[in-house]
Amino acid sequence: MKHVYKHAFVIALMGFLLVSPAVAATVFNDSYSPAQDVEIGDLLSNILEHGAELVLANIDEEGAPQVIYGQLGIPSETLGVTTGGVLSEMYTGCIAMVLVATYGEMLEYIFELLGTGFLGGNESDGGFFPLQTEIFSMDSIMDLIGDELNMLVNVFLDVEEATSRYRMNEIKSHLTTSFGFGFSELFSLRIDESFFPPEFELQLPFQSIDVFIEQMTISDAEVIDAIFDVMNTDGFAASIDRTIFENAPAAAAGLIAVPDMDALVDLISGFTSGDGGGFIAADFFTSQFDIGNLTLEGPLAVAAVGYLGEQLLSTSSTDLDIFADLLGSTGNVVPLDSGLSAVIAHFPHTINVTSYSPEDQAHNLTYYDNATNLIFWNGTGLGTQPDYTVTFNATNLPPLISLERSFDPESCSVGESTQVTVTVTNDGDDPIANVSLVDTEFSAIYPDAGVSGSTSDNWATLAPGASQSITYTVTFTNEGRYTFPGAVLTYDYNTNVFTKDTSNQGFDVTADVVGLIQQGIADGWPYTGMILGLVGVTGIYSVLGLIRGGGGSEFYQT
Amino acid sequence: MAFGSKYFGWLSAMAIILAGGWFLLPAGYNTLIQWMAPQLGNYVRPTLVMVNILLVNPMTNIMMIAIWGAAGFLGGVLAGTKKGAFVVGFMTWLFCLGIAGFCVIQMFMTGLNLGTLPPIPPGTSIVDILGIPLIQDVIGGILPMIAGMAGGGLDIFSMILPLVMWVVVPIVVVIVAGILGAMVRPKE
Repeated sequence: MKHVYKHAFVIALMGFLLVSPAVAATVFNDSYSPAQDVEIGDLLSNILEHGAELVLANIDEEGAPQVIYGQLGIPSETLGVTTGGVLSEMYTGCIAMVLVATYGEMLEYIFELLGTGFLGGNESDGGFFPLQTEIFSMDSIMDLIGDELNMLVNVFLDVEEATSRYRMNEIKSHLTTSFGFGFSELFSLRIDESFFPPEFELQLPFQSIDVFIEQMTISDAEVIDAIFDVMNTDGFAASIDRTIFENAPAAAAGLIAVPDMDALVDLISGFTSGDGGGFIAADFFTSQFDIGNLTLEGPLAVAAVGYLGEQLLSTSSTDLDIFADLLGSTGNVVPLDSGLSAVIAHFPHTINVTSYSPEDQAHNLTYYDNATNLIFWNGTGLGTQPDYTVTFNATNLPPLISLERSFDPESCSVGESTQVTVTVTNDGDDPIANVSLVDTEFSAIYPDAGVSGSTSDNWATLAPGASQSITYTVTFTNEGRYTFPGAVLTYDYNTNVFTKDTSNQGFDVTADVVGLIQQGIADGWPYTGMILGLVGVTGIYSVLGLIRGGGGSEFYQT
Repeated sequence: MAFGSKYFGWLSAMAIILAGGWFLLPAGYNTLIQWMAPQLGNYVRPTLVMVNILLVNPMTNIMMIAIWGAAGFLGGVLAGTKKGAFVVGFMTWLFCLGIAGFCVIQMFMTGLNLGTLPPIPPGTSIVDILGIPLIQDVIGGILPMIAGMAGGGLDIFSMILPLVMWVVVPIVVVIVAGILGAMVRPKE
């Protein structure tokens, strides 16, 4: 897979578990330096016991932020996994619970971070390569998945069917009453030996697995709020304004809880053990998860929320306060009382980081990697801070450019039209050049919709404070919710070419019953006319019979 | 008047079925309609309404069972005889089948002129589609079959049986309810 700068962020994200122990060493062992080898098992034990939290902030080349806040550790008893330190009855037998919600273009962003090869890029990317066809391209898969995934998945191991369903209902009820979640069952599946034909004579490494998949029925903002409620509200979380995530154009929230790590490890061992006939190559997991003398047992949970923001930094920016600017904090930032708190910020190479504060490389409490433009703070070691600030020279960032697309009217009926206006505005202090605005993808997706007017245009320059627009009209012949893919803006600034696009937007075209019936009759003519005529003539005949004979010899009892 | 009573019974039953099917369409179908209709045309909604009317899993689609029952009962009351109720019920189902066939033909005639599948609209996902009761039933039936296929055999009978049951359920419900209606208010 070809590495681009964006991968640094996902590497940082995926490295959460790896980074955390390393930093934990600075908490629990003053003599530790990041470069030295450490006993991973001991470090993970400390992390799991005391908990950890991490803020990941990435700024892209257009000056837009992507932010993730996550917590890792033993779940608090409010989640209900344990009661009085003992595994609660409803989570007994549950080996994993995964709750995930995404909206906006967050899911697409995550796939992009993983690389195009992940879902079917070309072989030179070196990624996973299912098929060499465009059918399995990332875009086409995203088209079929959609952008709003709201799911809860629970897996129970070796539990009676009725019992697992009862416990699942208990868990749902607890999540609903305690955190405000709402669920609607999608699927449940029980896999045991009866699931397979007897002639298989299959020996499963378990007695049964019950999988419950639920759709979340609450709004995106409510899911984010609920995930925050699940988390430990001390530490960084106390400084975070949740509405930043709730109002972002794209966001995601997730929770993974393993009630009993020991049971999960046993299950994995069951898959890998035996005489080589297991489901997964023997020793795969043990080689992948060589974690020294650490014994994983008891509950574990990871919860995280993240968002993709609009352009925040521009040519005029000189510094960034991670908590105030990206997380809405208004006061001091306080780390967790116990456990680990860390902040990681990543900037593109077009930004020249000149300093950051707090700074304490002497005690290994902060770290700046010049090669990747990545700054790391050990929040626990640094203690309470007014903020985490990065100062930089941003001459290579573009001026503040806004791009908006509006519809007039915002919805319509079949046969009606809407006027689409895409406007680019230079809100910065410097002009941009070679401005190109393109919004042509809609007509490629829906050739049946009538598009008239200009769907693209170019301008030599766009002065500070100036705006330019393209306007076109779309006439809809069919009902439905139409997707307007992002309008794309490209421009030059300071010898660099920048690209910006609007979000995918939906447009509703409604159909009235009468209109549809009329169209149905017209489309099916003359057959529909013959049927309606027959029905009508029969009706007239029947009514005449009623008038003429009053029922004749037949009448209803009274 | 015997024919007239059956006619009005049939007309009433059809009105109840079509109105109930249209206005009480499960929310998941609307997501599917919003997704597919821009490409396949305005017959997507009527087609799915008719599919929801005609393929009824009694375990998961109680609402349609109730609508078929109500339609059959009213048809039976108006028909007034058991034989008439049977005819009314069967003709109601048969006309629904005809309408469904017409809608499917119209939908594909429109859709064939258009391009590829459009993207799922913003604000929704495949999860919403999977929330449709009929889709859930089909997947619930397919998963064990996939497990069976791993052994080399595909049990066609077990694949078709649920569909046959879902088709038969409305006929049985509308006719039984019709006969009950005829018994409640019989002609002399």
